[in-house]
Amino acid sequence: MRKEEMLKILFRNKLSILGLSIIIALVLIAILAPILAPYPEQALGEPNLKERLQPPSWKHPFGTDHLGRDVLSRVIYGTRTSLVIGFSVVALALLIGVPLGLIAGYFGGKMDLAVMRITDIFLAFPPLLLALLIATTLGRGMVNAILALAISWWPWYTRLARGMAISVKERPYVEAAKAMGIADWKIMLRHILPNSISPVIVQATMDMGSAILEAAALSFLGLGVQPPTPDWGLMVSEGKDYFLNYWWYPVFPGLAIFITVIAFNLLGDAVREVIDPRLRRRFL
Amino acid sequence: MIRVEHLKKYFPVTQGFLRKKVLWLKAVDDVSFEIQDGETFGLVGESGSGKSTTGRTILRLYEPTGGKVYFNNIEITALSKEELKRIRPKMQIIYQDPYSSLNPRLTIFDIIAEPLREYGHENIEDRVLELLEAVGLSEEHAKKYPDELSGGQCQRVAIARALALDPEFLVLDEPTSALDVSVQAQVLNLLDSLQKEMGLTYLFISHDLGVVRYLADKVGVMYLGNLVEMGTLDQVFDNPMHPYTRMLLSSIPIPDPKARSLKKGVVIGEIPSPLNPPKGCKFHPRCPFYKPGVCDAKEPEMIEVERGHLVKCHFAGEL
Repeated sequence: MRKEEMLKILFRNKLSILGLSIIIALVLIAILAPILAPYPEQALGEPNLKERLQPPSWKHPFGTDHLGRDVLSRVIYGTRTSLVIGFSVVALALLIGVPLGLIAGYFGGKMDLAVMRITDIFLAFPPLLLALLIATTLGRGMVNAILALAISWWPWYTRLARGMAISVKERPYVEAAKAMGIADWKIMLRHILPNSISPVIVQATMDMGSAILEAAALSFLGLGVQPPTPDWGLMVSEGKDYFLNYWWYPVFPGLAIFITVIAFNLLGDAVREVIDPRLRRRFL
Repeated sequence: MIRVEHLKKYFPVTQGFLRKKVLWLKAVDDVSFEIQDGETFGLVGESGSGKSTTGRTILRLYEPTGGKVYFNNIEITALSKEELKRIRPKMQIIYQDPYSSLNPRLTIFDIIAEPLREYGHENIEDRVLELLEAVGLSEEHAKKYPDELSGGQCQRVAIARALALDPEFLVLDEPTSALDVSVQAQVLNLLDSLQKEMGLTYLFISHDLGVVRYLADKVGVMYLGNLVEMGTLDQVFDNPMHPYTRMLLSSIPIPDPKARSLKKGVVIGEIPSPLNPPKGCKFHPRCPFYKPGVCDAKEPEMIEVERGHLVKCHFAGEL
């Protein structure tokens, strides 16, 4: 399919445009955070105890937290953390999951059996529980949270890539490549991967939102990003104790998570429509 | 020259979690034939007769279960993976569905260039253009993707790719079955002229007897994994001896509204499941000359009824 056609399909759906616009806005906010945030130093953790728990005002549109820091600035900086986590988790999971899935599907037999039983072990756990377990083992911190999520995430991509590889490897162009004596790894790279990747891309786009959500959950439970790093999950966690009297503290970071997750889901839908209108949604 | 000796390809049928083999599907069961250089051997039969599997097993795209295949007196079936790769360029295959035999994500140029790059050829661009011209396409097609071409054009690209490495032997697996009749003729003519120019040897697999008649020098008729009749084109088409061959031949439509000679032996019944083939002569349940006690008791031998004309029937020459 040509590029113009893809763009046409993408812009046909208003929700797709909305999702895409939000994502672009989030990326811009993340990049321009030092310019956009009214109090960058507070965003990075500097307390301002004179103005503790102020309600939203012109000076602090989202109010301030229990250390007097501007919530808006921290939410803006939190965009960076969230996007980095979401992207890293999905990228890492793809990097582990897709090659394994292609190998399992393409070679089949014992290789397939081995890889699939390993994914079964991972998939047997409820997703967040496994990530929690790994994060606890690895210790607190953002990098460990990313690793924990990626390790619990890759089997999904393995399954998806394997299924596609199995169907693609039966196509005559793959057999033709074998008949020409093309090496297996080149067949996988040139013929299997490009023709199997579409549903994986769709899934990965949607998973960005889920990864951000789960990372927030880890932070909320104290296993992810550590204070004073600005992180939405962490802010919700810290803010929950103040929720009844100072609602703005947990609500604004919570809204940020909500909007971001929705935006990635909308974008995922749009990407699916562009790549393959017949593709079915995978139920999680 | 291609020599196939007692070729067998059985597929295991597995069941249950532990993939226990419950029985064998004998797709190709003891097939032997020879193709001389520059000749076309037509392999005909209904779907499920094992003709495509035969073609693929000869190229070792499937590992044979038994038997030997010789290519220019080299035993292909005994080669290691590395040795096989060295000989691969000499033997290529063309498929039925022109679209699915081309990777939709690659341009025509890259598709044809792939084998050239793999074997470290030089002047790839010139060679690709030369090949495009040889199959009746031009430079403008090189930048396109398969979905921008017609079925016939795609089949030409597949032929160009197969020719890229200067093969000697081509397996043509129903190369025209998926094409419109007018395009069929063009592709057949192309294959015919390429054979004459380059001295190619063809194994032409088809269920379309009319097409086989046009191109083949020798013909083999397959039924449930066995060759049941084999001979020169004239021997098989003008003097068919096996009841199955006669049945197939009588099903060719005759382009003459006045000819109503179809009654003699229309195709009856369907090919039985290869998982559970009939005992004795595998054709006996459909055979109009079936003799109880003979045909269902013993498998017939391949008998040479005349020079080069072999028939696998208890009553060959008598019917």
